Amino acid sequence: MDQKEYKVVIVGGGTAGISVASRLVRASKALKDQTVIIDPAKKHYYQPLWTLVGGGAAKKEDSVRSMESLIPKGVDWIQNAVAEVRPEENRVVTDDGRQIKYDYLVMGAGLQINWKGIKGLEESLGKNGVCSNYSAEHVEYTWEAIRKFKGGNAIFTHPSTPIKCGGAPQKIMYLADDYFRKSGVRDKSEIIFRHAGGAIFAVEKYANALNKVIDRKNIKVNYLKNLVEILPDQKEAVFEHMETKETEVLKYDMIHVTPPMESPDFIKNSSLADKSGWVDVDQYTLQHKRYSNVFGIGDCSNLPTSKTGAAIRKQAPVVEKNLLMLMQEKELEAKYNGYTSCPLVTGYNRLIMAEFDYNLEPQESFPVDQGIERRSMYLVKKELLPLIYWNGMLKGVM
Amino acid sequence: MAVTKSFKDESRSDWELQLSDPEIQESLTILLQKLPRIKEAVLFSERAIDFVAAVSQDEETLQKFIGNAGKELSAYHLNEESLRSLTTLIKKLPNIIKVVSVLEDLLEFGKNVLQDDDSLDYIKEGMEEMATPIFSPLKEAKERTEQDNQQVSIFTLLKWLKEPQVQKGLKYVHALLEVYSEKHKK
Repeated sequence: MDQKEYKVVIVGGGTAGISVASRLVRASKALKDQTVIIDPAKKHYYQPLWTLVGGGAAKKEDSVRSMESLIPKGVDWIQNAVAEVRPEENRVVTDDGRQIKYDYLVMGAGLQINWKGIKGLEESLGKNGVCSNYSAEHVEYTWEAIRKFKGGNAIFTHPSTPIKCGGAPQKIMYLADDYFRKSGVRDKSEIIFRHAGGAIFAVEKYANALNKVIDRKNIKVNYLKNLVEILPDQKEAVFEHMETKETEVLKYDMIHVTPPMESPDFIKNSSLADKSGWVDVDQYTLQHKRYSNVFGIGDCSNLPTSKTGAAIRKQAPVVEKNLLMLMQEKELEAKYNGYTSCPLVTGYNRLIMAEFDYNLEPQESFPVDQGIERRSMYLVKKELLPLIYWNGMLKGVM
Repeated sequence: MAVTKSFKDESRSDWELQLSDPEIQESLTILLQKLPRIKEAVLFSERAIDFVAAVSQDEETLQKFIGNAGKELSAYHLNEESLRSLTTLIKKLPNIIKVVSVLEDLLEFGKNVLQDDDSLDYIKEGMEEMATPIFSPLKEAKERTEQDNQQVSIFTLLKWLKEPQVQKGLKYVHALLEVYSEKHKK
């Protein structure tokens, strides 16, 4: 059986995997050619741009790069999916049966979207008004659905599971509202937001600001309502109340679906997972709670914070520093405070830049009140953050 | 004799008790494991001490070193003030290193942007997009002006005066002149 050995194995070549790999080889020359990323994807997407792609304000091609162009120098890339992780043996097995042995493991595998979790969704997505910004294949269809909307019910959903970028389900709704007003169909349409959770946002300051946006835009919001089925022939969506389990059927003319998400199967099936299936790590050091030579970062970890790229930007230096300290048999000193950020697009050229920590306390970076809708913050998201992502974060310098 | 024996027995039992402590046992195991490294470190230190002792006894080498250092330092006109500054600088080094690291990362970021054609295209497109609403009306107005051969008469000017935008502009100019005049009087 083919077997290879590396000092550091990084599972996942997404935001987390590439950021950590870049940082490690920048910080330690000894790790060059001793570090590998395992990921089957040929393309790497900057997914935060998809809100604007779905809203017709950005191009999908600006959100994609070839994986090959992003793998840092001095880091190997195994282009296969991981089938199994055996932390007891310090071994990862790929789907073609290769075994990769490691001294240290970084789990940055992201999450998997469960399209089948909503009955009828997979087969109806990308046509007849059913769209989702969470699909690389169909993100551009969201813009088509918005442009072609002639009035009626426009429904937007937020599921009951943890999701990547918790604000994305409502951002596209605010853009749609703006566009409907511009195209003259808003007065003959109803915008409906069905949220499986209990509030518009977890941080009070930003929740207050968003509730004002919802009132101004006259959006009908209902909480604890989870989408369970799409009936494409009748153009109906079935919702279930999270507590009473009562169902409600709504007619739609367009529906933007945020699908349920979960930890990747190979993590759920390994001893790395907690009860919910996510990689079980210490929320401050990001070290695995049982396997000291394993670290978890990003969406696949069980960190009690919002799953965003901005969170990874603050987690990556912690993993880098603590991993190097562990190699030197020193105490792990770097700590992650739960920082995450959600640039809440509230319209074309308007944005609330939410930044907060584990305690749900705002941790704002700019010298202005970020709880107010601002054009400057919209420009930061649209023009500056993609540059920082490709040239700073993924290169391990920001 | 009995006292000595009893003292010895007591010490021994105390010693045995200490050894039976798992923490002590673990520490001893680690110590034993690290003995080769400790030996290397001791030998290294011993060599270093020998070297320093030999140099300090070698007057010729010391004179040469001090002489050279003195020449080097005098070239920099070292005085009390510069030595004080040097001390302050050393104290501030940890903060300076932090700032330098940030600058290094920013420079690296800038270099990455400049070397990345996709990013440069993205910046260009973004700037064009932002500039369009500002420059597009100006460009269109210029084109219309060039194509317009119509004479502007006094009647055309009177017609323009009725335009709400012209009225608004004139009112603004009027108000501005008033404000300036009031400020000037004060």
